[in-house]
Amino acid sequence: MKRPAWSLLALVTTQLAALHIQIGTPLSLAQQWQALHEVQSLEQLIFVHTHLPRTALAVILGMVMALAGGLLQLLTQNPLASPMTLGTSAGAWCAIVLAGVLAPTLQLPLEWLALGGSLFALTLVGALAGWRQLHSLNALLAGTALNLLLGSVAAIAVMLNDQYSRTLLVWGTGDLAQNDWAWVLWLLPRLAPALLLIPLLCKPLHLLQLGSQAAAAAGLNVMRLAIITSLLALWLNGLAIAAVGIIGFVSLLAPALARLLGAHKPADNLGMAALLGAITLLLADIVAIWLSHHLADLLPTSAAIGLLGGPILIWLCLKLPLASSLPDATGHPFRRQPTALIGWCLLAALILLLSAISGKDAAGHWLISWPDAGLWALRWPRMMAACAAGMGLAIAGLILQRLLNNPLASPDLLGISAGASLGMLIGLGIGTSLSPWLFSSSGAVVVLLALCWLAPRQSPARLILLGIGLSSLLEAALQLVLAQGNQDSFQLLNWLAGSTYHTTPTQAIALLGTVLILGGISLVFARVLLLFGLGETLAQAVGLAVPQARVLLLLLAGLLSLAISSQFGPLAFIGLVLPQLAIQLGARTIKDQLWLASLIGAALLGLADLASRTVFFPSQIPVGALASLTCGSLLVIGLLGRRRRLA
Amino acid sequence: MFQLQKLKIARQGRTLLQINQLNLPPHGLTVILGHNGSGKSTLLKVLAGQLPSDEGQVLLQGRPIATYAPRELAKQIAFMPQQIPQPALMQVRELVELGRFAWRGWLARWQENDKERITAAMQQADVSHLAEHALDEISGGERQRAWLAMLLAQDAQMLLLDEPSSALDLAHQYQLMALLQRLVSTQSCAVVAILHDLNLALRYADRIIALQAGQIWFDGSPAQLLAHPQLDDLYGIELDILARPGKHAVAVVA
Amino acid sequence: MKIYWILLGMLLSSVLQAAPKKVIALSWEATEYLLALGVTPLAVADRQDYQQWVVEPRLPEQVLDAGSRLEPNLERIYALKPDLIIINPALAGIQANLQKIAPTLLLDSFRVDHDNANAAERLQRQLAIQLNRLAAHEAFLEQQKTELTRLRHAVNQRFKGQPPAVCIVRFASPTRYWTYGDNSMPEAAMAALGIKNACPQPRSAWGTHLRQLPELARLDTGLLLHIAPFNRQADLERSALWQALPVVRTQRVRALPAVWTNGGVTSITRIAQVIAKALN
Repeated sequence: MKRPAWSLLALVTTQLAALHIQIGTPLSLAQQWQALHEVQSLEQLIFVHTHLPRTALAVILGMVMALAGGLLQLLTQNPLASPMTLGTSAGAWCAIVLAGVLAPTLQLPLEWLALGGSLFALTLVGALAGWRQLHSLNALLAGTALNLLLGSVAAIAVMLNDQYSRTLLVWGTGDLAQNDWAWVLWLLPRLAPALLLIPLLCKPLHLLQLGSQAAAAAGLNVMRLAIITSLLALWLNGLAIAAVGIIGFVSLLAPALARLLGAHKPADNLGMAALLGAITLLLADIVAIWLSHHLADLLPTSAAIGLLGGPILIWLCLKLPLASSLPDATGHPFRRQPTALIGWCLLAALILLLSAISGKDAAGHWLISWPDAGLWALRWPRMMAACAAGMGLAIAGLILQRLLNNPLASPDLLGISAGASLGMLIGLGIGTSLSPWLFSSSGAVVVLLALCWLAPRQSPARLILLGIGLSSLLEAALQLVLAQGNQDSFQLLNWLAGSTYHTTPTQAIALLGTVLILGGISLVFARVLLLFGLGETLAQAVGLAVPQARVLLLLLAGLLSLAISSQFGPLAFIGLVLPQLAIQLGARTIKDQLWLASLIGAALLGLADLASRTVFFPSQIPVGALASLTCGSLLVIGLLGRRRRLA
Repeated sequence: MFQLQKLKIARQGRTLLQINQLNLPPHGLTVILGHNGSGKSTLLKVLAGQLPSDEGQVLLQGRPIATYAPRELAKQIAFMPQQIPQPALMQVRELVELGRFAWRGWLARWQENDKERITAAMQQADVSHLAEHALDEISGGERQRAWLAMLLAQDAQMLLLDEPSSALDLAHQYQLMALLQRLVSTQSCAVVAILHDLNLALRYADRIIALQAGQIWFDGSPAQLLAHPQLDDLYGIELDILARPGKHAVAVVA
Repeated sequence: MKIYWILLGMLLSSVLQAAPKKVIALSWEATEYLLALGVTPLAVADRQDYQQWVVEPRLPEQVLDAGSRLEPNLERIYALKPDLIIINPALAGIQANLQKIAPTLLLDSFRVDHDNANAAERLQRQLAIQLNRLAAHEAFLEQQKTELTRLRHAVNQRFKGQPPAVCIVRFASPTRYWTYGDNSMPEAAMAALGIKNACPQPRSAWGTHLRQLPELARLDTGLLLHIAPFNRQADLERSALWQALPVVRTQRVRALPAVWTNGGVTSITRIAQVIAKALN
């Protein structure tokens, strides 16, 4: 790295910091200078206690977040790793929300909660993607799925306590506004040990660029390095979250930009990333302050950074090289003797019947009897919609997993559900009386069209990356709405958590019909799906027109995802787990897998519908969030089981 | 069957392959030799239609190869890349069935003659007894034979094999080559294979094409190659030819 | 003769239908209207939160929980077999569903294009007519009016006709707060007391706006009233800016007990009561 680049960056940082201070205050420079010595006017008071600490915090946190992301990227050798994309920020946030809702009296220190939550999330991502796969797309897939899951867990917690949580929402949306120097002073001593450690880590991290095995052969204790580095990164990120809530993107963008500028050695990369982080956050906060001056409502910094960073992230996704995942040596699925499909059919039917006739009566006691016509009219549309969604997600997940040859692919990562949510957001923003469904489905359609246009030109892995980029953009846009903490926020949150509550009979029937038709088509295409198992090169050699087939299959999965997510928002993990579960239960051929996965999907979502009606009676829990949680837990149990068998 | 004219493939200013004129007939066992980076795999990919040429023409049956639809092409050519994937859960029979895709397409059911071809291909490649086994349960050599069975079921005029013997032990390497030789003589189809082992090539090939730095360095019969005065240049290492009375001559590093 | 009986029966049944007995309220403002009219609802949405955040008018113990305000439990509502269900626009999407269970009344209380305080009275009257409770409504209004007049008088007396302006806020975080401007219930309460709003805000549907703490520095005159509960009060009070705010330094800050700012006529009176009490 050349000296001029460093000086230029340092200059830009100081310039932006100066601009950041000036944009907030009406004071003249002389008055500002005076305020530093002696506060005379109220404006000077605000200057000293609000603007200056805000600028200081923006610089410090920008650096902290960039370092957290940079350390994770160096450790995982994954150019798109960051607390945001690996789901650790969501883990931290979820831990803070749960602690706030479940044990509000305990007042646990936020930074430790954040650290605990993010450690939990990172462990899950490592277990899901495989510890040796953290450099590949798999880590991002697992991270994004986890993001969605933890998001819905937090949403459930928030919605069951909505009045209390309003303040939580406003706080959690990442705003840099300050009242005094307390947070800056709180941060500095906690940063010191971390900053002392980083210079020691640079050399070993450089060695790690050879790959973990080669680095180990060269005498590096890789395990110890990994533990120290990840703990450090998570601690830094946890501090940032405890101080201002979630501000994504900086941790991802700053190190990636540093690499694009040519800083490849860890010391250079981290140093430059820190400066770029400060620059990014300052820039975003300037935009936030400026827009808040001109808009009636406040714009949190995180939303501003999302608007800035989202497009850059999408561009990065399409540009950065990414290692393809290695075949997982431990990935031999556990095989069972296949049970006859008819048996599974009966079981699914039994479960569905049970869910259909169970409920609670007015007094809250269990009531298991055939519902009368009125009750049935209330019950069947949502149940049918849930079952159809389960089937559809299972089928879409199967198609994508076969298409990409990646067991972690799932429809909620296609970006279609993110598009639906963004559409919904825009609809809420415009505030028309038109059906929100119209907005969500048009958002999804736009993404689907973009996907179909890109599909013949880009590899499928890139398309998934694009979906991940879109999901991150969505997250940022969401902050904007949630930060207002009003009725709209809750409606949106509810929708995002996958509620079948508002489903009308027509919608339910239409959804089931769509899923059945598209599922039937997928069944017909089983041979093509099998061909993709050979890899795209070979599939072409055997005679498949790969680009066309890819578009067709993506369209199939996309349409399923569109039909489902335009009604229920993004549903994490369901589409990921069900096809795999079908394999674990003994399905081997594509047709078996398709049947079994959709049967389990229908039964599971039917059961989830029952649970959503009854568990917190009379309150409801969104079916989608519940099913995501169940599938996520199944996955974790499955992983633990695999560990045990291997041990 | 193949006619290559003034073919040139370049990547980032580096010429990977430059062939003025090459014809491949629809019969015989042709082996491509060459050092690392000599353009063997590139040539094979061009022949398989996986890589479009930057300059020049590749004609298959007198028609530019780029004008062939994938299924049309697959009826003419069967291609096995250097690294074969091992899809989990797929059974050997299913794999071999996929070889019939070119003939039946997306939707049509397998017909009687498909089933006959599949059975025959599995017998030829000696994997009939593995039909119900999953691909990731069998050994590397068995897997390579299973892939060969798929290529056979494809009923193509020409098989293009990129290092088909790489994963095989010594005995299986010779078995595979013997099988290919048998195929060429009984099925009247052509095989083009990339090999690393000079002796294997000398023993089984009808024709050897040796590449060096992207250009054809030698094109002729094994006997001609053995008689080549600058044989040492092929791999850039000195070779001795040991003539063995009544047996094939072998080349060893001097 | 027979025809008279039939006519009488129809008359009776129409009278009975005109006065529903079993009412379920799925919004808090509707709950307030009902309680004001002396009607005890069969069930209300978010019952526990109501008791914590709205507090007054008190909810009788026997009232059941109907689930959340965003997604009330339809099956429980169905099982309770109500005669009337009252909703607000947040539930407009499921009105058709509710209509299948019982006649459903949509009360649109908070809109940018009407006066929310007037609308509360108008909607409560509409409800009173439907429930055959017009007399109770009139009596209630009279009682509220008397109370407001009394409060206004007391405030006037206390400040000799020059009551201070007040700024009512609810803190969202130590750096942000919601404030209540034009078309909000607190401003209606201030108007009833003859008090000026010290931090006026543009008109909106609910009359609330999210603002940042430094804006409170511009509060030179008047009192700052902040509505409890706020769980990070300690953080706020510790901060240097808060302590340096003119309103804080001159000790013009008062805490208000939990009152509901998105309610109806009762809420207005109650807000007026707590303001008057805080001013004393």
